[in-house]
Amino acid sequence: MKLAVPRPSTIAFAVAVLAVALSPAVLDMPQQSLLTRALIFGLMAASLDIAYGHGGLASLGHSALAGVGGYSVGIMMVKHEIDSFFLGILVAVVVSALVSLIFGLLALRAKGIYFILATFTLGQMLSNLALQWKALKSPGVEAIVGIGWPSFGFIDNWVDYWDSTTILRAVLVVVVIAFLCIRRILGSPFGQSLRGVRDNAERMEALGYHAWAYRLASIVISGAFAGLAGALFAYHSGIITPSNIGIAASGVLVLMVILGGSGSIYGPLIGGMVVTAAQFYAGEWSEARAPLVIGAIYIVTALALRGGVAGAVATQHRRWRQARGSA
Amino acid sequence: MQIVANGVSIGAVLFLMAAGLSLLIGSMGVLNLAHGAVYMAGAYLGWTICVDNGLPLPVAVIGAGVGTALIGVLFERLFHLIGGQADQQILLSFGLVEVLVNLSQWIWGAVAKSPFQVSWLAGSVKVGSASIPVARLAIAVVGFLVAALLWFVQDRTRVGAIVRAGMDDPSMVRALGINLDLVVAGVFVLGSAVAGIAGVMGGLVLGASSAQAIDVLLLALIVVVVGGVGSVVGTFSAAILIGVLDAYSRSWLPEMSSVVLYALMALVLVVRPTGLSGRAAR
Amino acid sequence: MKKLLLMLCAVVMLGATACGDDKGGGSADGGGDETVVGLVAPQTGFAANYGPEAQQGIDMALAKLGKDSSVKIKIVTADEDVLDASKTLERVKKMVETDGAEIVLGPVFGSTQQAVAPYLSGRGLPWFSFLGAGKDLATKGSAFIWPGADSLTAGPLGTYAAEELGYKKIATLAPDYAYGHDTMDGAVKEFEAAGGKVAQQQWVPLGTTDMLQYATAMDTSVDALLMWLVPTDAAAFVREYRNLGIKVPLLMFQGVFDPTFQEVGEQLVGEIGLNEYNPDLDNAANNDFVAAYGDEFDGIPNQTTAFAYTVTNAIVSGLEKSDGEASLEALRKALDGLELDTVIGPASYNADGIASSNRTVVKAAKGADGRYVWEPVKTYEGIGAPK
Repeated sequence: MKLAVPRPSTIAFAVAVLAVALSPAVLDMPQQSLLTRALIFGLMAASLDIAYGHGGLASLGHSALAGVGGYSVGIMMVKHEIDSFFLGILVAVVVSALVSLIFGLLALRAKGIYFILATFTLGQMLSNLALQWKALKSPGVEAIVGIGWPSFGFIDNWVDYWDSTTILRAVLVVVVIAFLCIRRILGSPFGQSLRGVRDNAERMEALGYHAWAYRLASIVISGAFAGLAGALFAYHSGIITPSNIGIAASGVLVLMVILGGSGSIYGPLIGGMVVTAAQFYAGEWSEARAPLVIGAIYIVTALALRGGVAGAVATQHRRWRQARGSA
Repeated sequence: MQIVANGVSIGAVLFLMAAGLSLLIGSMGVLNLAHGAVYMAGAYLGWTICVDNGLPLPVAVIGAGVGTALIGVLFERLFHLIGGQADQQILLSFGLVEVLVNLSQWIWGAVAKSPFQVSWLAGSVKVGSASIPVARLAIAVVGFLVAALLWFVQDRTRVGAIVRAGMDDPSMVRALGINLDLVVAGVFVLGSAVAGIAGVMGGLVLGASSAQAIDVLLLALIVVVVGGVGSVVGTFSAAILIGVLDAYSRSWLPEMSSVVLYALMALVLVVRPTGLSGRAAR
Repeated sequence: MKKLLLMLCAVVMLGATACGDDKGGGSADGGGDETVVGLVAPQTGFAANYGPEAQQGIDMALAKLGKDSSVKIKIVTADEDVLDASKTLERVKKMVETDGAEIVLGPVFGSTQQAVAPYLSGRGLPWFSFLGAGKDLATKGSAFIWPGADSLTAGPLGTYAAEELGYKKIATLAPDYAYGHDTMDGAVKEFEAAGGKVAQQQWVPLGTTDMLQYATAMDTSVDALLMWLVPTDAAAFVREYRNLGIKVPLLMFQGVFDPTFQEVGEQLVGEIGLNEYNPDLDNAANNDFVAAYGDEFDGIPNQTTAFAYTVTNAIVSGLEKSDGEASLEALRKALDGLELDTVIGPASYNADGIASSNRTVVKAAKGADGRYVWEPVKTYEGIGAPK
């Protein structure tokens, strides 16, 4: 490992993480909770982009894969009283990876628009299963309710109880570790080959790569991280419902990815946080008219922001460097 | 027998819901997820004309058809702006759903409208051992008429030939000096008008509500996938098949009834990724 | 990069322990002797009518209080997102921890109630359902349930069918979720206790839009069909029922609410229902309430407004008796057996916080002014709490 000066983006990331860690000093409880939710959706969007942006596999069923993680920890805690964080996370990741494998094996038979429709179908099937199957419901409600914050086994004695500040920091640690893993994967030879498959599958096949295997792997990895984010969502929300994993939720994830800039490193994370905040503040502004704001964000993003926020920043940065270079 | 009759009668509604979407995906490669919202707009317009103002049903059908055709013109311009990118189409259509649903709640209120009362469509007729409400027959008649019209246009006219050729090789069609964009815009408007008519006819048994924007989209997508895009006959057979299957699964497997439909859809995608009688999407 | 990661973790953990005793959130008791009550009801989406209707009832109850009342109430609201309970829960947490809500009024929908109940019960925060709830939410949680437990509230419909109408055999139809099962089971239990039999039970899966098959698959040899569906589904079902020419009488729990009832009333004239609230009830409290509503909003109040009004009154009575103490224990004790004079007649909460109140069997009819009404036929007293 060679020593190198950290890149500006890495420094900015580290500063941002620090800022979030110290933010409870100035944020009140709902704002901390919002920030926690934003971090979780940032991770969920980042996980989607592994397959979406880097694998070129537009998915409309990603929230269902996240939901597999959320339902896993929810059912473990509520129905089987297993409240260990590490066990919960492990099960959530493994189960959602397995479901993603099946998901990928089925969906990859279709191409283009049909792939999108296939992911939509599979996602909707899981959402309907959660709506109708008694094993996936708490008594008297179409959801898993009463999910508490899990126990860590070692840290629990350090704090009196799990308030919003502690939860924010715990989620931050998990999200940062997961995000750095994603960054590592995308920067690895695997990530490069995956983008190669996305851009020119025939050439990669000719070079001896199995395009299909790379695609499948990207869906499984994407689903595993989604499961992690979904587990965090269930722990933080205390509840998970079929509408959290349905088509509308998957659509929001696509918005997050594209608004942030699909195929970039930090873009989806930022997009996820920005959209979560936008949803919240649109509701604060006017509960009744908030959907118009969200709708406008969707439409403007579709019409204007091809490369997303990250793309816009990168373009600006390039222009700035070019301007400096030519001066 | 009765279950089959019920299934066929809801199948006609499903066909009307899905026909426009199938055309859009098939002939233009446009994944318009706001199709259910257009249906919803048609249902509400139909309610305003037929129930609120007490005008005859055919007036409502025409009025809602024209209204949603205008929405179709707007949508077509927007989809035209973003080009053929599937993910941007997803975003655009989700945005349109949010806006249309919120506007409809603003205009028509939050409470759903109950099924439209049309006095000359009351009662039912006996067919063999099954009873079929007259309103369902009316829907089936409209469904068959629309199916026949679409099939005729697509398979027997010059416009249809251009659309079919455009699905397979757009650059060749353009090279022949045909204004494909205009034809494609026409298909968009036609598809939206069909969705609006579906909204009014569906309103006879389902009423009008903002939840339909997503509910109808989901049903229409199942039909389109099973039937294959761009094929009127395929869409029609799939709609009837799904209507009947849904009726059976509700009586035999009520715990899993909606999962069954998606399982069928997944099965079709795996075994025959282009649907029962579809062609590859552009 | 690993070092960076380690450092980050260390900083965050340090922060976590250092600030461990910094318990976020606002203090629970607001200014002085004012009690903060949080209304949780849908303000947006397809059920957006509930929130404003409930607000009307609350406003009317508070307007009666007057300046020199010993009880002072401040209302805060949270939008109940019927489709995404996680958002509702988040808003309820904010309402309690930041806005300082000491008592919650609502939520309306059973699924939301189940979603927020673990949080509210965990904090021992009293919450008042004003449109029914499962009884476990009170006996095992911190709920007060008006006008009675779901599993008991529809009972009189079964009793009336067997004892007054002499029906021997009925069929049932309701949605396949908790509220549908609870209410039907309650009515069936009373019907069977009075010697009746149930020949067929149909449960409509969630997400069903087409009601035709429940009409065609019905066993028409029965004496009556006992049913509850949400108003638009009920309207769709009754439409097919009439189209098919089925003559079996209906026993409709809750009847059909306005405005849907006015759209389909013609098809229901003569059918029997059971109301929890009915604006035509003739008692002093209801006459005053309906008159006041007419003056204020120019119309006829519905169940949501009437019960939000009633339960706000109950909260005030409870607080008056507990000297403003808003804890669960204090309110349970204050309200236990306290006689309440409500719009549906005399009522009271039991020690578990479940109300017993009157139910009225009604008959659909066309009123003199051309409006469709549910005419009161017979009243059953003290329904809703386990005996």
